[in-house]
Amino acid sequence: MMKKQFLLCSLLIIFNNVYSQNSKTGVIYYNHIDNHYGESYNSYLVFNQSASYFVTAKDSLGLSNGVVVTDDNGGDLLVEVVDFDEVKKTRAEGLQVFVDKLVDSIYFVNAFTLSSEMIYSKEKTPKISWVFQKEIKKIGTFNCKKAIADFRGRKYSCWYTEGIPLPYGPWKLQGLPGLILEAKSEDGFFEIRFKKIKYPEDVVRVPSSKNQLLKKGTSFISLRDYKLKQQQSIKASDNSLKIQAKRFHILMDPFSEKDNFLEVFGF
Amino acid sequence: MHSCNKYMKKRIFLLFFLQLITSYSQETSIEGVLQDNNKVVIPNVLVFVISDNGTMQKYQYSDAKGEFRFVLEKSKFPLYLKVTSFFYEEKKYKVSLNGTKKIVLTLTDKVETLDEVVVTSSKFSRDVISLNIHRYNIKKNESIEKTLKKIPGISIDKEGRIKYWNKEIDKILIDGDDLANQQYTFISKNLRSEVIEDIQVLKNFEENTILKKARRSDKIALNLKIKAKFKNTWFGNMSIGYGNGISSGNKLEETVNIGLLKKKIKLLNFTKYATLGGLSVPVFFGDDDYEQYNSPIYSVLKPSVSLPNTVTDNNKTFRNTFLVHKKYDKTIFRTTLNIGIEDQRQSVFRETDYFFQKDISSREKNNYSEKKILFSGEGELKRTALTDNYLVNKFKYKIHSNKSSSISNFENHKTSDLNKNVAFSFYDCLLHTYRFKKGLILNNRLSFGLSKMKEDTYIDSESLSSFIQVDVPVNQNADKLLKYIEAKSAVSFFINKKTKANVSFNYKNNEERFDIYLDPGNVSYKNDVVFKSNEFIIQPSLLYRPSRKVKLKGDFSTRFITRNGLHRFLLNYNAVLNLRFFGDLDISFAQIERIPSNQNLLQNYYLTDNNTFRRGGLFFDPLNYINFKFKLTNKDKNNTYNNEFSFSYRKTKTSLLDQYSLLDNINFKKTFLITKNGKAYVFKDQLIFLWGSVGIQLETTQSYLFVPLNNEDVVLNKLYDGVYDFEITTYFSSSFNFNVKFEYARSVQEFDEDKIAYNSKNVLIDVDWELNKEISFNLNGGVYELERSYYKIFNSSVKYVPENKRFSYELKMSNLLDEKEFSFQQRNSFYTSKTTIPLIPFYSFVSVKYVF
Repeated sequence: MMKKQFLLCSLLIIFNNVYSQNSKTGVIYYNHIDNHYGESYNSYLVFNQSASYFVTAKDSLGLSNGVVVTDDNGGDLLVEVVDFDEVKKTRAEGLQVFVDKLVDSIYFVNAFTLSSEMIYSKEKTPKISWVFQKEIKKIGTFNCKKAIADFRGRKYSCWYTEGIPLPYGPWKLQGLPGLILEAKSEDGFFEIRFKKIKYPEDVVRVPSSKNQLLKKGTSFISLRDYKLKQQQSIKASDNSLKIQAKRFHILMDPFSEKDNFLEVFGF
Repeated sequence: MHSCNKYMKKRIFLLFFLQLITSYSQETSIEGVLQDNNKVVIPNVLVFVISDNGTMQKYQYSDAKGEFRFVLEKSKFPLYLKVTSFFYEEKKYKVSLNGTKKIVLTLTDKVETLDEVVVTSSKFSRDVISLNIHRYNIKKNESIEKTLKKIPGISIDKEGRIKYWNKEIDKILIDGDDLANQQYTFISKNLRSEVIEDIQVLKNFEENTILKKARRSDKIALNLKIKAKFKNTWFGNMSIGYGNGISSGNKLEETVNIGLLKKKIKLLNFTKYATLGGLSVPVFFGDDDYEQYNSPIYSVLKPSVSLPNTVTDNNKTFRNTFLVHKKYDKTIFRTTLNIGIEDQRQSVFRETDYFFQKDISSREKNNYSEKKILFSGEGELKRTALTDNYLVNKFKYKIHSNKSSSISNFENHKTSDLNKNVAFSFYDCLLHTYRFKKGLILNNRLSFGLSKMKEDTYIDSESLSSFIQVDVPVNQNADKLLKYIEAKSAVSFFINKKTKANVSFNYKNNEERFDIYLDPGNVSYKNDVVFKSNEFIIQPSLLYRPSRKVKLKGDFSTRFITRNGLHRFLLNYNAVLNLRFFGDLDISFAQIERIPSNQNLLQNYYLTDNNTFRRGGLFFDPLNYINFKFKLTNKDKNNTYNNEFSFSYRKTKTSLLDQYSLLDNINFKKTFLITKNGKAYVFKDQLIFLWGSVGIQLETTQSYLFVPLNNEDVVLNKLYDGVYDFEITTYFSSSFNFNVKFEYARSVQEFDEDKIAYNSKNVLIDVDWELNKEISFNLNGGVYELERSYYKIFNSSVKYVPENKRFSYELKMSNLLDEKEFSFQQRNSFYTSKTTIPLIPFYSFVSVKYVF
């Protein structure tokens, strides 16, 4: 009897805990401007107390300059935009970054080009050395402060709000004393603009496990292997450029990592 | 024992020292743990250390165990811990810096709801690519065209047409404003790069604001972003150059370019005088057929050579181009004014063998001079700030005067001629686009124009006079007049998400009059004809894209034509399937039917040069052919290899044939309609592979043509052309790179038992060497072989552009090996000719440029 009572109590505590964790979820919608492909995507960051999940360039979210239609219930429904004569810029699952604070790790899904395969990788949460600036501005109703940092080959300036005291941000930008609402790399390669926030959120969820990011038959590779793949991709693209230049009788420059990859590892 | 004491002393000293450090250390630490009411630890909660006045000293997020630890400098002032969370109530705690106890802070849940905050992002254009020109070695005084040549992905042909990844650009804009329309070479060849901050490629370029909203365009434009310091002020550059050689005359070049670029008004003026070859009368390119209509009837024999014109042309040229773009309240006005004066002299020697006239060959030596004056311009008036309408009117005009004279020896018969030609043309086009509420778009175009040409030619030729049985020189007078009007309406709409449809209706009416006669002469050398045509075209087209890998395009046009009372019905269709399986595969099939132009229907002889008579025939049948094309492109995974193979097949049912023959030292060109089937097969393959820093390209084109030469004979004329190119390009990371190309061409003609074959070989090189940022060297040229004669033509240049200086210098050396002449071959089914022109002897040329 005692055993049963103990079990029941434990279950209730666990359920309560899980439920309360799940119910405390917020979501921020951004406009992700990718100047590499000259495209802007609808993206979101969904977060709870211990994890955040950033998704961009996903089919179902579509392009942010695309058509937003209204669903039958009158709410906004972001649909896939069929670009008639264009290469598709989005993917079924999108590009994703899952920050798990409990294990201090980042699990991410990326693709080097529009047509290349998805790569699943993981790394320890990188420590970004933020330098705080004096500037302040208001984004929506949020008072924001500015911080800058060098991260993997680019200088970023971010606007974060202490009104949402969480270390999250779009992509791998994180670790500020407040959630990042706007971010921009100095060269304009990457840009994030805040669109809207919803809290509490009960539809979009943070994955309960990193494995939810994986597709059948895939696993997370180490950052070292990821870098190796990036190096191989640079070589292949450089070759491709040389070939195209010959086909069309035009000049070419060596394929540059900085001009084509968000993360610059120095290859 | 003694040593033991010594050891003990040391330890005591160490402990004492450590105690001292600890006691006087400036640092202390604060540790703590965060938990909820159920004593469950809370990770990832923001903990600040703040001072009394609220200034943040440090911050940290609690770790997976809910713990935090700060190392702080000791402070006289009180410090506080502030725990803030999105999910828990805020807590503030005064820190005791002397205590070493772990702080336990219990947080209570927070119930917070955020109203949706929505921020509308400012509009972002995803169709703009900045070329970041500062990354390339851009000389401040070089033209935009030279800068573009250095940028990967851009190619520029001899006439200055610019392509971005093999797609020709539509326009060059300056800070978003159009100054030159399609004659963008005015800007690219004259404006210097120092003025611009960057060049942007505008994909999906569409000026029509209604179409822009509704569909993606496949047009590309370049936008020049002007540096702030060149806005709202006059700027420009001037240069002067002088050259001389042992046997070449003096060479001069002077340029003055000025500009003013303001938001409301933009002005550019370019002036140039040169004796270095080149043309002052620009090559116009537009997409309207009627723009080509006032081409002359009579012309002097002019060679078209692929060599640089500094080596081949003895031209004196003057040109002034003026561009304006002015914005009014709701209207934009743009105009271009161009004045060109050109004085050209050339000697040409041509030997011609006639395939069907075995014993006949002709030799002609011709010295000609030509003076051209062109006054041309265009204007555009556009209404802005309309929501559902787009309205623009464009007009173009050209006044052209041409005077040429030549003295030639045709098989030792002396001929001289003098030709005067005056032409005028005007063209106007009104465009209107309207968007209906349901996304249906109606696009209307009304254009009309007039083109008039008057030509007088005096020919003193023994052969000609005796042929037409007169004993005096002859005059040919030609008048041409064309009037036209055209209306076009197009509607486009989406059938579903994957299918787009377009239907266009087009009505054309034109009247063309030819009045050509020889004086003295008889009716067999007189053409006085008027052609009146009416045409109505309906063209539906469809684009279906079921998936990313499949695209199907089709159009179908029906044309009803009436010309001088005769009626014809033409049917054209075209289907293109693009599949991205096994590489990139394109398959297309088309039937093309068209009516030949009116000039082919002049039934009597008229002179086209000093010893060529031409005539067409009375026919009104459409030219008809079908075309099939297959193209497959594939590459390997590492992109070290790319292969493009294409095969095309054309079957002509009716075609036009120009038949050449020589009689009594006079060339005869008869144009007539062939109704027998002809065939053409063309195979092309381009293989590129990379081997380290070296790129190798092998390219071949094999074409087999089976051409009927008359309507009676069953034997077809067989033509074979084979071209083989082998090219090596280096991609060294050093400042030295080169390109070498070997070309081999073979052509064979076979008719019955007769066979004739030719070969040619060329080697072309291009070497670039950037000695440093200020000095660069280039050597280019080639060795050309024709019938075992070798022509070695090379040019070089050294540029010195000091940084931060207003002056820059260039030394050019033309025809380094002082080659005297150059020969090349031209061929068709009836003749083979070898043309030889003298080259400008070696000279060096120094120029200095000043910018402001």
